[in-house]
Amino acid sequence: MIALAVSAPFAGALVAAALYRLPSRRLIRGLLAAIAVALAVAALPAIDPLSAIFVAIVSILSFLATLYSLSIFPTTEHEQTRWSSRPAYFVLLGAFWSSMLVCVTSTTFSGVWIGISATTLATTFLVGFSGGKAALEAAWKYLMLCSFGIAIALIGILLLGRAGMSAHIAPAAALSWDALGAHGARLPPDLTRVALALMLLGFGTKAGLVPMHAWLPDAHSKAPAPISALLSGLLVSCALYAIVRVQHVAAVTAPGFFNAVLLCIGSLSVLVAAVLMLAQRDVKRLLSYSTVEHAGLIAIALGLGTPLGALAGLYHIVNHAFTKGLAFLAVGIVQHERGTTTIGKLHGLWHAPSGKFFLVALIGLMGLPPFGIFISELLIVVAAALVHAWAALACALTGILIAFIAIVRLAIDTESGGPRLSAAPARRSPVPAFFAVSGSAAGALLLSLAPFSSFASKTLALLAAPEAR
Amino acid sequence: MVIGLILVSAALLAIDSRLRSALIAYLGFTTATLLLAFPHETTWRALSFFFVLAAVKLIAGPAALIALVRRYAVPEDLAPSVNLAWRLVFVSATLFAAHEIRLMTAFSNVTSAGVVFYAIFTSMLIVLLHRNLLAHVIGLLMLGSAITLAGAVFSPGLPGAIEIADTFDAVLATVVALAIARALIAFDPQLDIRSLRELRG
Repeated sequence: MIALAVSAPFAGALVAAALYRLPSRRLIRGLLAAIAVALAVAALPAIDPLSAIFVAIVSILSFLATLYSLSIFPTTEHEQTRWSSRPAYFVLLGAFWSSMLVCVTSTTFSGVWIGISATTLATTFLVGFSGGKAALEAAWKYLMLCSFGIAIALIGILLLGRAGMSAHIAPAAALSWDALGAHGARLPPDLTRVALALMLLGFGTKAGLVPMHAWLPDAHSKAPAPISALLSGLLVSCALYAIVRVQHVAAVTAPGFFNAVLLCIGSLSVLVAAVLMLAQRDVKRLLSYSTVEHAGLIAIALGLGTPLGALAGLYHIVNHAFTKGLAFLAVGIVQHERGTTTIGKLHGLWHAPSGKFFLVALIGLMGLPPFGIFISELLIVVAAALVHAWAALACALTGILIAFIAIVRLAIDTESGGPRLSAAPARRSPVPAFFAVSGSAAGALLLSLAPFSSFASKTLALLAAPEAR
Repeated sequence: MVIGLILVSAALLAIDSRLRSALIAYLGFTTATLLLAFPHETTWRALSFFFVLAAVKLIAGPAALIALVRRYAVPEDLAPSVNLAWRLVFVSATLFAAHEIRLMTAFSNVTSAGVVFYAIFTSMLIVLLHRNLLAHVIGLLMLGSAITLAGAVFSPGLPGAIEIADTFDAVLATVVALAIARALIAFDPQLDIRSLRELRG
């Protein structure tokens, strides 16, 4: 069942590409994407809870991005690039969706690596989809940096496998985090530490953590809007998922070392990205730096090494995925209507439905209630205070404050102004695009209710537990 | 002998700035790494993965690079970003770093760990020290070979997942890198990373 769910998006995209000449091709694509989501839901009981959360967000957001792409197809600037066609776009999108599912359903590091590696290969073409020079440059930068990043992660995995075999774990299980965690005490410490550091460096590159973030703002801002939504909302989440799995092994072998590195990288990411957000003149680029900032916050939460920190980090991953997905999809509609994402050229967006959705996304990213990000950021702050991680807490709070200022400024610049200031939209957006954006908005808002369900009792239980402190 | 070939060809790749000699050095480097990485278990699966890798790295990759050069009249100068003296310093530093890593307690039981890290570092060095896009493609191909070598040296007994990962990466990364490079060169054959400044800042 899991194999079926994982392969369904790619297989569906291939089938739809083969039926490209049929008049009802859009409906077929939409139906096949819906079937892929249904198969993923059916596979959830067979997957462990952590993977199930990621399977759910990958499936929902990928479906929304497909729905959006069916109504507003990205424009191309250069006809010569061979992959800039509609069938190729959806095949690559399906491959991207499937490869993320491979990553989050695997039970070994080699499986996670194959998934992450496959995402790079599919998304390189998607980043360079428009065929314009800037998009191709971004794709090139993305390919080079991420290839080196995931190569470093693979070397770490090879070393971890060696460490596992030297601890007498059977070769077939030497890359399973469960087996490695169970035999953690017997793993050679020096080799394991080097392996974990390389894996963190490699997966951290894909997560866009500073100082390995250089590819992210270019790739996320030059990709078509639905792809930016998936790159920011999901791909970064998949890389953070890989880091969570690495931490599972580190927790029994070198917890102090691994968590300290995570805290440092996370703090640096939050501060650097927040400051760079203030200097951006393009909406998508600003949102890309916001992704780096949130990845940093998640790294801080994980680096605290407590159950509450882990819970806060996980909750923040889910919140950020939906809110950032919403933001990029809304910007996509704005770009479709107005033909630009330059902040200085966008005024009075409030008067159009797309601008209202964009404002909702910005309020979510500001970390204001009633959005889930407000609660998860609060949880991260509480978790850091409980373990007296004052330096990380100071960095997190400073970063959150600077990012808040940058987003408030963006909201004022783009949303304010009367209808006369606002240039009339060059074209209207189709209704299905608004369904996709509404879906993301509903996800971002409904997630804020999670703490009032069973999540709250779990959080309180963790707060009461001594190990949480 | 084989290790010597890796050391010399990787150093030549980092130092020389001509595409022709870089390609010859690349072929020497890849042949040597593949010889060292030849599977211990001669099962059909291990051998088939190995021969796919060898075909991509020794035939398809270089052939595609030569085709690109001929079709788009790409300059054969790899446009090093520092002068020869500095390139020699960087290669020596890489050799020293690989030697020091070999002495770490973590790698005390790993033979040829220094060679693996030297291969990885030099492949990164080729990307960092050159501005020509083709030099970057060669660096990426070299990195793939270095990873194959790492798999053979660090964890020879690991199951097939690593072979699959390695082959998958080599085949697709080569195709993707060459496709993007072709699209960029189609814009401007003289294009190198000095021109790729729009995205900075």
